[in-house]
Amino acid sequence: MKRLLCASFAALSLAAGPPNPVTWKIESAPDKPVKAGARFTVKLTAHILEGWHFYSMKPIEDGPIPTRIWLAESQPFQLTGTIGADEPQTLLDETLHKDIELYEGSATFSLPVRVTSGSETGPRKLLVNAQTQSCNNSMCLPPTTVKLEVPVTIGK
Amino acid sequence: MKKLLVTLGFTALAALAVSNANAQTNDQEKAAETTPATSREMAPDAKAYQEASRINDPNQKIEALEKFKKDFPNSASLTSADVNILSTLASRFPTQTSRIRTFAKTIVQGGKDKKEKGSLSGQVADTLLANDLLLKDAEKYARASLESLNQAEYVAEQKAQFAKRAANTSGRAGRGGRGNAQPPTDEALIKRFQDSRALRLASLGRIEFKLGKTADALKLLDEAYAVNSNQPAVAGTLGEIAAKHGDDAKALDYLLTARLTGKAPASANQALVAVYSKTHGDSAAGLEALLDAEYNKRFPNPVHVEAYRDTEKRSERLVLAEVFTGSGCPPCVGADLAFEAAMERYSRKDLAVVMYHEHVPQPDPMSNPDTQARSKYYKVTGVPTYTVDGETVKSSGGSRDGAKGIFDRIQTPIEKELDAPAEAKLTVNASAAGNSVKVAASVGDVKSDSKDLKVQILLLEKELRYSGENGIRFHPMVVRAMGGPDDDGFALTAGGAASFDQSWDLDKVSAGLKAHLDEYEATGHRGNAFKFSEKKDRIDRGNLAVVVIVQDAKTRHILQAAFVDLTLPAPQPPTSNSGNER
Repeated sequence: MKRLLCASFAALSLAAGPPNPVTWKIESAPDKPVKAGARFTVKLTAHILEGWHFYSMKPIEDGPIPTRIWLAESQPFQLTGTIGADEPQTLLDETLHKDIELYEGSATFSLPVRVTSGSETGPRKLLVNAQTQSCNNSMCLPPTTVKLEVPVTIGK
Repeated sequence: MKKLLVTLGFTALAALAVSNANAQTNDQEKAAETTPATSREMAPDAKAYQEASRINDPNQKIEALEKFKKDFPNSASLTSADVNILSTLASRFPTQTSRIRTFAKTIVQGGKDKKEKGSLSGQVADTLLANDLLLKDAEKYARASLESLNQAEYVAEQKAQFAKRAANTSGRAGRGGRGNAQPPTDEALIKRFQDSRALRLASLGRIEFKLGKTADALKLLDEAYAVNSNQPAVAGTLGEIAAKHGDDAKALDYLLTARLTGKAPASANQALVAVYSKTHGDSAAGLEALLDAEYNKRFPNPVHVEAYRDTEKRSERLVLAEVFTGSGCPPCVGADLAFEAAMERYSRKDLAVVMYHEHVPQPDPMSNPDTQARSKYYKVTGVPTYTVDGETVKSSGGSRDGAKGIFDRIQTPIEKELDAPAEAKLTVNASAAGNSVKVAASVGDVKSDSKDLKVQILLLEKELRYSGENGIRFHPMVVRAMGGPDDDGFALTAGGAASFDQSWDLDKVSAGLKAHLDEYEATGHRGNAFKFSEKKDRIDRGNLAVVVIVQDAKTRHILQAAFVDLTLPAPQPPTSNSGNER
């Protein structure tokens, strides 16, 4: 049932700081200017270091920190619906005695976004916060929130 | 493959106060532009949900959760809010059966497909089961949940997902180390499916047992247990069934297993006492000793240490580790065991460890207002959190397997501090007699100009026995009270010498602990009714220790600490025993 500590965990040290098992990539964003009031989709993919995982967006009572993705406040963009996500793996958690949803390898999230009506035209940066908690089979890192900047031009 | 998931951090860690810069690599095409992470941020919906779910008044809580649903219609926490409302209704308004039935039905109807409806049915069944309510309804939901599972569909779906992930990560193995894992085998996927199914078999089996359908229950639970024996509630119910059938040996085995997990249902624990008494001359007197022996046999500390030897630089400092933990906190297991190992490696002249228990994420009968105040002082937002001489160690929790890793991480700051000169001289006289503990602490030779120095005096029990939900049975160095005019220490003038007296009436301390636990139980834990399986308010006079801390209250830096074991004969003369007089 139990695995040995993986190398990435053994390498943890205060001097080196915690590892960074997750790297984010913008898969798709508008190539052309988007009008005020118009909608578009941003796809973000998290690539996860082998041996690590993070959790789906579904919260679990007294469970690990789920993935949360949200737009920073005070910008001319809004989410218009539920964030789409790859289907996570479902596994039994031996500690919680519950099924838990997680991602290994990679996970792609689709954000339905709308440009706020009446927004000024010009190049902008859509600011997205992505919070995950990475764990391997022995321990977890504190949750981290990464700020992603997606260039979007608001056109006429 | 059964994957050992480490679900650590938990809701309590949602905004852990650990700076954890997470600079992103820029080695791939179209890499996301990022800035370093901030640790305290929470998604607005997560924050709103957390606030609503922590309301104690059930009506206000339900109202707040409904408002949350309206305010954040796209939140991933909508289902959690619904289940939370159902749980609150079931635990606080159990007579409102019509309302509960309607709400349960609405939850399941909200599922988008067979899979989600099955999962929601399971959550409804578990909620009703946990509250021993509407069990015929619970049976219906549990059966629907079980029947929604299909092994062939699961395996096909999981394979498709893996292929998709593999496509996403292809070609990345050589860059930044993001490689592809091997695809799971059919055997591994079937095992995962069976593990999930066993959970649903278990729920239905437990419901059938409560409905008096013992034969059906036994069949379901046996099947669940054969797949995964790490299911406390299943072991407990199988034990109850065995006891009912007069198979005492089998019952005892199951019930001991369940009891040691700390998660056995109350009825299973009652059955254990009954069966043990029946087989031991109508007395349960030896049960705790048996549980102790079984615990030590089954769960030895996985961290093996060698005794610390002084370096040439070893100073007069007694290093202080402060650990914020919870008996219902699974990831605290790794930290608890790591510090237990640290107490083996280092003597009490090298290291003092103190454990502050918190009601996180579950109610903890060793928590008290002083440990909670200390947690606020350190701005602890999740357990486990631990500090060495006042500085938070940048780490997190771990499973039993993770204890060694945590130990490795705390060893460095501890041994660094052992070589750091003490910044105050501290002499402590402490004694226990009858119901009273008296402490006299003298501080001098303070090497700090801070105007915020404080002397904290802590009363500890060296070990408490309590099998909490995380399975840890022996809890070392539990803080029972903190001294000072407001239980928050004594002010110390910078550079000056001073003496401080603290005394505790143990009956009063015990009464205070009981009052807190009674009140917490009456109020409910985050809005939900609960009962402590045991209240740890009694203080064992023969099990006490005192820790004295000289601390800069502003920076939290510890200048010096002292540990006095009140169970050891006081040295004669003088009657002092301090951490800095080595």
